[in-house]
Amino acid sequence: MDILYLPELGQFALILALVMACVQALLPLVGSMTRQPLWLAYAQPAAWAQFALLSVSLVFLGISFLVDDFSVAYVANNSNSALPWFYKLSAVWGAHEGSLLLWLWILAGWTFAVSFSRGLPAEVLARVLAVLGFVSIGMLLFVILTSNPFDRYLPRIPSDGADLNPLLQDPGLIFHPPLLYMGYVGFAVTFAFALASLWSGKLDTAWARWSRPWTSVAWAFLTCGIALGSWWAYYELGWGGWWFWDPVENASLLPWLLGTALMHSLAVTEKRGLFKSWTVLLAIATFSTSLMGFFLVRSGVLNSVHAFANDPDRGLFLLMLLGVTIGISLLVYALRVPTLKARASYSLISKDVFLLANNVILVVATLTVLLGTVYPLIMDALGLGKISVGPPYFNTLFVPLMLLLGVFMGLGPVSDWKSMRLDKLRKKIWLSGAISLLLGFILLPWVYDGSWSIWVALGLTLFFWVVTTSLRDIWEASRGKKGWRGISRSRWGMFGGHVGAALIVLGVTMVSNYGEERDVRMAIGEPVTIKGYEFTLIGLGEREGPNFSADTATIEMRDRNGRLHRTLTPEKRNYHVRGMPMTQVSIDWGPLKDIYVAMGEPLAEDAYAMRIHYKPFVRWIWWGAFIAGLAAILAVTDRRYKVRVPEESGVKS
Amino acid sequence: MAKRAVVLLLLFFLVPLAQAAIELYDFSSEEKRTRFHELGAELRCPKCQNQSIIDSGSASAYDMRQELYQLLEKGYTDEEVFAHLKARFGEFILYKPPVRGDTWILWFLPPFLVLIGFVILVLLARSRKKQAPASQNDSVSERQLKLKKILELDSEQSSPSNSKDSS
Amino acid sequence: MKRALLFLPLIIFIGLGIFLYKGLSMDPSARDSALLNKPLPDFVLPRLDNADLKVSGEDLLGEVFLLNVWGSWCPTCYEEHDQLIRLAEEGVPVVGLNYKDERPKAFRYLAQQGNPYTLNLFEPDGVRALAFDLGVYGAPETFLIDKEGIVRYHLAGEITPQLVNATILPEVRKWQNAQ
Repeated sequence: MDILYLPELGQFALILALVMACVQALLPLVGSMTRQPLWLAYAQPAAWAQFALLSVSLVFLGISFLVDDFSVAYVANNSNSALPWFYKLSAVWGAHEGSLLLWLWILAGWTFAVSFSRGLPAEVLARVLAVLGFVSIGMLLFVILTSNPFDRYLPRIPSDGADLNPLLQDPGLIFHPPLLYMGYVGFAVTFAFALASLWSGKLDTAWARWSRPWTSVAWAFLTCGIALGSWWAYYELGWGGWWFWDPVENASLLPWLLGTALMHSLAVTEKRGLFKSWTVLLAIATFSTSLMGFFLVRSGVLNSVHAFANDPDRGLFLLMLLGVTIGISLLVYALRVPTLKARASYSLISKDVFLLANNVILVVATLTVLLGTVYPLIMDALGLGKISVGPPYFNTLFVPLMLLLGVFMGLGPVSDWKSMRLDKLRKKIWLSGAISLLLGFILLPWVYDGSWSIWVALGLTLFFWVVTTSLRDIWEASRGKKGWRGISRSRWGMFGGHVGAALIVLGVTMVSNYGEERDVRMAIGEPVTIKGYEFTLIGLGEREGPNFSADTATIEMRDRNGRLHRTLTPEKRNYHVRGMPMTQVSIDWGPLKDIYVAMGEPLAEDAYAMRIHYKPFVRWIWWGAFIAGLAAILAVTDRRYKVRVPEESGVKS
Repeated sequence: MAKRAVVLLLLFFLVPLAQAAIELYDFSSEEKRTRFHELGAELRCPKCQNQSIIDSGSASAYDMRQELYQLLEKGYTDEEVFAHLKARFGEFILYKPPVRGDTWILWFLPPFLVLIGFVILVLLARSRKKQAPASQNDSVSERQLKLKKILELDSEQSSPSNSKDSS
Repeated sequence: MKRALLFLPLIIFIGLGIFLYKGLSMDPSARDSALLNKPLPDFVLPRLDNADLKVSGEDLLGEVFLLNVWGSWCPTCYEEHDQLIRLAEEGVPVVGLNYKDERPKAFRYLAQQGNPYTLNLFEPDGVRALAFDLGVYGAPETFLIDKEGIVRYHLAGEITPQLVNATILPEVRKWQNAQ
């Protein structure tokens, strides 16, 4: 088999995968309508075949990159012979067409995993796979008809490629898209479960129980993917920022916010049988925002530094895909969701209500981010002029919402289901409240910096509030019959998730309020003092990388006693093929602070402009996120998900 | 349409963006330095794909930074700085959208929705509580009293004028 | 009633979809000049051909003219240059604003491409004068100024033949015949 035919084989595999997706989706649909249960059985093997075929396709694209097959247009546009091999592989998802293929493969992967579910009735599984199949059909059509990664540049094959965008030549960017897609696509599973339930007409709590682990895993991946993106932007872009409310960033935040609401809503529905219809809507909405984000990023409708190559024709196809998928789901929802209320009741002070408050806040936060992102578009479409909506707007509205959410994050774990007496709740929280106010509101802002600011006070109070209430909950759980052993992984997961979130709040509060930056002139041998550290430029040089040349600087960082703390080596790279200059910052990082140095322009033969940032507690933003993500995975490994449940007959309401 | 995109791309002699620009300014006061960074973060680079003038390496961002520095040194207030630049580059360069008639929804819908959401929540909980059966925390006599009330309510509701759905 | 409420998400989505559809045919970067229907900002700039001679806004008042922002570094300026020559031949005064350029390069450009300009202003890099006050952020950009010195039309981008026929010439004639 001549290796040069791999792209054609990859394309055939794509087309066959489309056929399989049709089988996976249509046969169960028809079988369900004409009452032929045997047709439902086609879903599973079709799903396996689709996964295998897409794997072939993806692998062949990867091989085309590795062997420098520049006759493939996508390879020629995104690779180069001098590119290191691991970036050649990550270039597979470095631009539009390839990242689509990755998205599809991940969808097929999730579908493959779901097909092994036990404890579900066969018809339910078949329906879930069918819904996932429909999603796959839409995306496969999009790829094959408009965004084929296997298109060739023939007969004039370029002698070399246009190189991968230097910004993407970074380890963080190898993992960022796959993690994100695992999250975005993972929510399709809960979406499929929701639609399958509506399809069958039975909306029971079993649906919630089956969906929960899939939702939590998807959420964990999305959390880690977003955190990785934020961290990458911080160390790669050179301006010390970690979130910019850019439309593409917002597109990833929408499903994350709704996914968080969904996780909590599923808990209530499973445990108490309440809010079933609301949870179904949330499940549909979460994946819908995934798709919406997909559209916003790739259609050219919004201005963004992250946007993929913009092509309005593709945008139209995507919009139709979006319209059909979301429109039909919401229509099915409106027509088929049962309106009978659950019989369970709850009072105002209860875990049920606190979790619902969580939902209210998160849904409004989602709407806020969506509104801010599309408002310029709406104003323009209405002929009202061109405005910009940026960080000042989002920060003003989002931060208070999150602070409010934090209040409930503390109340939730320590409250009882269904109903709780006010004095009982008070007894559980008074100590936490007092400690939080004392440390967060009164003491620490003064101790840390000698001045008090309301935002620092609120942020710190919230941090202590969530941490102390979570600790209280875990401690009380340990006083149960089995002690510490008896605390379920699910409970630890909740603990880790909330503490992780609190750590994010801590990091954001500290770095936003106490962070500083200085642009300074650094000449060789002349020290500059910032924040108690002495920075001395001791040398300037040059070096050659595999596909770039760089100007380098060596800076010694000494502490108050003159001891050498760290040697920092920022550099300014020039990538040969694209001619793009890039700053490579040097960071002295630690749990309490980051010191971050970026090279500017040369000012003289031995002097350079440098920017030095002081970023207190910034690492906790990402550490907190990763802790929360890992905690969600931990919760999924809880034994209760492994217990075989006898087949539900769906009578429970 | 694709052609327009190509035209726009050719339009400007793009200095590669995405990298912070570091210049040295001689500020006459620390306060001006702080304001430079704060205001700069709120000003959008007119030709970049969504970057503030502080973050962008492009020529027009450079010009705006120079102008901002001079305006601050001349003693302009925040509002005057924004007005000065808005008169030249339009509202587009302000990252904080104005608060006026056509942006009311933008600014006030979210807080309004939170309020409505919580009101609905409270109403829902109240209506549920009214027909709540006995909770575990009640004492025996409290439960007997509640049971009696429910039985009375039930016998009232079984009259034919009531609707089928319990609510 | 409850059933009707359930259609709300669908309705909201359809509304959003309509805007997104409209958005596909719009350009998020294009926008009107802030100076539209406002007076040309005051300025004093040297001439391109003679650094000692200064030109101010008053010198240009009195007739309708086009102000074209250009630079020898700007690829699209080469594309549109023919249209500028055509407009000059049609009797439309075109004033050039040489933007972020160097004199020798600008002269070479005019020598090679032809000079449709009645006069050229020189605003090099580092000088923030008329171009900055007009909100110019790249080249080419073209403004139409009427007899009273009010900016009446702005184009950020290439002057195409279609644009000349459909918009620019009609606008010029309109403002020449006004009052």
